[in-house]
Amino acid sequence: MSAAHAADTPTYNARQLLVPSYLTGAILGIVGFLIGHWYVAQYIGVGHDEAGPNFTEQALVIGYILALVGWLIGIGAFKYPITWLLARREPDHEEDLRLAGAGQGWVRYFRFTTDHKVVGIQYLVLVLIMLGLGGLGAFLIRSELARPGALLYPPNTYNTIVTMHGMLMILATITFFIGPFGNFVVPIMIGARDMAFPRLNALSFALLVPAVVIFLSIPWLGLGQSAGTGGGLQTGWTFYGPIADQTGIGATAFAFSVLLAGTSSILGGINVIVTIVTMRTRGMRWTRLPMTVWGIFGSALLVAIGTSSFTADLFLILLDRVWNTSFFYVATGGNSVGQGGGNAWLSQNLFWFFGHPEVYVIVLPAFGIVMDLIAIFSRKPLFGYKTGVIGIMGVVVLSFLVWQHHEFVSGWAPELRFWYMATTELISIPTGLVFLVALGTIWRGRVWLTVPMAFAIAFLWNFVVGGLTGVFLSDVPADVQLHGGMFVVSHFHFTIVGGSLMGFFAAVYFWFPKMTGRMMDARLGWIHFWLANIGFNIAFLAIMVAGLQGMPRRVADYDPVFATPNLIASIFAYVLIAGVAVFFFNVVYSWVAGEKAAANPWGALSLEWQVPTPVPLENFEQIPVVTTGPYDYGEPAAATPGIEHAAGGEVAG
Amino acid sequence: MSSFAVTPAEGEAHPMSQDRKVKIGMLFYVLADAAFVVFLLVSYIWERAYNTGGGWFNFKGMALPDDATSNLLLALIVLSAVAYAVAHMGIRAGNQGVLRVGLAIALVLVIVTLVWQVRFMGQQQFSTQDGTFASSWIMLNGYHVYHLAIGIFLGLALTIRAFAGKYTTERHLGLVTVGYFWYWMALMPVLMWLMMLFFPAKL
Amino acid sequence: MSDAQPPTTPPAPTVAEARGSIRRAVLYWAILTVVLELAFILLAPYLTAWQILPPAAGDRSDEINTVMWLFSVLSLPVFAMVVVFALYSASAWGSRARPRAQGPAMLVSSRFIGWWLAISVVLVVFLYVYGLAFLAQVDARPTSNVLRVSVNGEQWLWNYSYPQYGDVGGSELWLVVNRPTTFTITSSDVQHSFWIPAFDIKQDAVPGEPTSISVTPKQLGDYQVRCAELCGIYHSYMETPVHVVTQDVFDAQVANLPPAAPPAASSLVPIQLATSAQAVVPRRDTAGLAEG
Repeated sequence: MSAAHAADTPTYNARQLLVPSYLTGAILGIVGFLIGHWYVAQYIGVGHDEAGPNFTEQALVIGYILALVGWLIGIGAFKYPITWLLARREPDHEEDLRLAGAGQGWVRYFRFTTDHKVVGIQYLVLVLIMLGLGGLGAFLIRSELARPGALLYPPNTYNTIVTMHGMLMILATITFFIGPFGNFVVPIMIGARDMAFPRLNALSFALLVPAVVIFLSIPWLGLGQSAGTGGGLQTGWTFYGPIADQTGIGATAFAFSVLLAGTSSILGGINVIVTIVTMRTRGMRWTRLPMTVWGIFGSALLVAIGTSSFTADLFLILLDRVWNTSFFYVATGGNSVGQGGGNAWLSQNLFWFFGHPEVYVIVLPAFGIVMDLIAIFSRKPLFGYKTGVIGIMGVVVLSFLVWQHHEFVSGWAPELRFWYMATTELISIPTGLVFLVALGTIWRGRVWLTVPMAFAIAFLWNFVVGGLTGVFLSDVPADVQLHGGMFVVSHFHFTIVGGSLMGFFAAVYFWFPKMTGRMMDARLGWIHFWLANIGFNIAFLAIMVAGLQGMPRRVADYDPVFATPNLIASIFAYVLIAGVAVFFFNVVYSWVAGEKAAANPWGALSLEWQVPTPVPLENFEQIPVVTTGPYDYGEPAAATPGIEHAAGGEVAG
Repeated sequence: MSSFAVTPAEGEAHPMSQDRKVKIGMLFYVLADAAFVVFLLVSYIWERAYNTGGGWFNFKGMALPDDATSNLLLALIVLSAVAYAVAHMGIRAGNQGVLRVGLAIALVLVIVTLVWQVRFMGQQQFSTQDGTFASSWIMLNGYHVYHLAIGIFLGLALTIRAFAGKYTTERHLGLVTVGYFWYWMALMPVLMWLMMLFFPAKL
Repeated sequence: MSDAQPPTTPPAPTVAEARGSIRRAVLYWAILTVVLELAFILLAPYLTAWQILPPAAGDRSDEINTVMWLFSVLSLPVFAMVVVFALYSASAWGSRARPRAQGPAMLVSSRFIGWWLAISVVLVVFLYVYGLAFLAQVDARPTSNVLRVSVNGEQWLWNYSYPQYGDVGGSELWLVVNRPTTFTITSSDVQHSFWIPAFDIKQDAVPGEPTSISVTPKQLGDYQVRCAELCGIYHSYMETPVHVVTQDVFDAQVANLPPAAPPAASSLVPIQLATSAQAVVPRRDTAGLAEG
């Protein structure tokens, strides 16, 4: 049936393309915000004693809610639920294709489009923008910290930059595998025509857009007020209880936007899970899934189950700020409203119950992608398929049992520390299995040193440093010294930047040809690789030294005793940033003028490389039946002592 | 050398049915929602257990929420779930009448609960700023009200569709999946009730 | 079906070649490990002198430094293994050109995984038990001749008072060398974290929930208390001196201290920050602010 569609591609006039689209969404969103803001000012705020000191907060939140509703109406997200409510005719395949953007050209990227490939590209661009802005934050931070003293900005501006850098990067990294690759690649990999719930998929992206817009408005909120009362965030991305209640108006925008982004992630995660569970084609058994799918599956499980606790935390903080509850206001009768009696540890626990699995949300897809790429570029089957899967799923299970290690020095439940110390150290065992598989796969491979392969190898040595420094932090006595210091900063940047971000770069270089139809420039890629890795490793080793010296995190100014490592870190952070700038240039340049890509430039075996580039609207002319695994490389004859050999065509598991 | 074999499948249907997809999706949605509620319930227990600075009751001498009304509201929402279950059994037995009446009753009960619940919350002598008990109580009931609002949308849709004759003994997927949400919507106040039983407002 | 696997296949490496490469890689691994270990072990004693580690001035500093030393020694071989096996493969068999053949279809044997798991478990258990042995010390509270200090974090300074000396106090901490000290820590606004890097102790100051930690200063001298939890605008300036002195000097000093002001009931003002009246004057580089 799919062949028939190409013939009668629908045509549209300009009005049909513009209404509904993101343009109408933006207009209605702004109108909604103004109405909400005006309503609160008119009927709740002015002249009412009970308005309280947080009337600005109320006006902002009501404005945001109406803006969200306006945006969703404007992009046409409510059309299907309303027709369903009114028991109208079910949309037929023709309408589904229109919603998927058939025949709409580039405009489909600016509409509520259900095609998983469009959503994947939308996610990719948004994530790159977020990464770029977060990287700008990193540049500003390292510039301030290059020398002791308040060099460039007052401390509240610095704290705002730190908070926004942290949260923007976290939002970007949570999304940067599940979003672009979970959407674009996974359905093709498993042999499906689209995600399980295409409309929900478009909705999760549509929710992320206003979240990012609201988030980026934070620096402009409360401008013109004095440093103490005005804009800015003094909280850090952890957004702990009392300080988040206390800090300026930007915190309301932060809580709302991250709540929205969290909701978007949960919906996206559920969609990915259901897609992988139910949409696999015939013959695509669980043991034939590429590792990327396993990594994204584990990550989506963590998102769907874990994010709730963070959203609950943000929800309570929002209530504290906007409707005068006192979940985290501690001192009784402590303010003009009379709030009080809250508990600060509650915020920490709610935050870290999600906050720790969140780290694995970021890194699990990277595990999968790195194992995948190493197998493909070594032209060997995975060293152990089941072993890799057990590694990933072991991390999924254990990651929910370790969060208290973020509170080893908080004073909460010190008697439980022995247990969380054990679980935290145990998590190194499944991680070790992933490394075993990766190293065993590259061993004696026909290694093709492409840019994505180089990033996959860089992942290994960067992430192992992150893991080993994690052992120091999991040990309570050492953690008592290192907690809250620059050592922690170094540790998690080794896991997230050295690990996941390198995995993301590998993934972009690898799937860019399939997503855009053009190869990324390899020469620029190698420049990017060396600048990023040299800059990153030296910068964060220097930061590790600063941490050992006793430098606290998130300081705008520091004791001159820490000057040397900070100067080194700043210089090499610039090198890293230069490398990433090359990457951004490379993306734009290659997208516009790159070499045209063949359908399968890497010689990979998984399904997404067997469809033509650009991928047709419904991916497959006919749904394929899978008879072999994605790692059926290799020559069975060669013998290695101690190692079993696969018979041709059979994969472990 | 082996490679990834891609031979066309016979026919076009996916191996997994549409039903299974929607069921699993709804199940995960309810799970995520339930996890959220669990954390909200935990925050009630937590604030009560720590009672930092004696902040649990910041409204000395004022009355606690009225038990009789709370129990009545609970009974209404549980009854609504029962009505929903009856409607579901009705369509499974092929009885459109039972389906329609059951759904209508379930919907009306939820609407009544919502109105009453909001009124009940407004009648309390404490407000959000009066300590952590007041905060938690209003927050949990507020979230319940949000559930009820979603429930009204879904219930309305089901009722309209039932009267339009969209459901048959063989095909009533919407009824099954919305049911997950419906029973969860009724279960949450039960959990709240149990929590208030084991961790009563009075310390 | 794809263009990836041309039918030409060079001869597969023999068992002898495979044994040879694994021997070489293990040798490189051993060499790199030995070099790293030697460098680390030789340099480690100087880390304090070079100010890469803070002065070990508390009674548990030495033990914590030992823990970190041991962890480093155990980490280096693991790091070396990943680096050597990845880079050896990339350099021995890697090429910028598209491979014309495929690698051997090796699969891990269950015996291999068994050994791998066994070694990881042994390492983890060792680290855990080793950490557990020191955990008791973190929790230990001295009982005799204890100096008690109440610490109150406030945006953005630390207030100390000495309950045994009539609750006198101030914002500089005076401690007695070799006298066990127990801090009771709380906060009047948001969370802070009471950190003395030289003593290797850290404990959060949580509003409304007192926490405690103990240490015995071992060296005379002046050190720093730092706040390790982002607590608002002037977090980076929330740093005050600690003076470790003899009992005589301490007694004389305490006699001169004024009675500590009772901690403010609350200075947590909603939304609007408190004016920075209480804020310490930035401790250094006020000139830098002007210049910047």
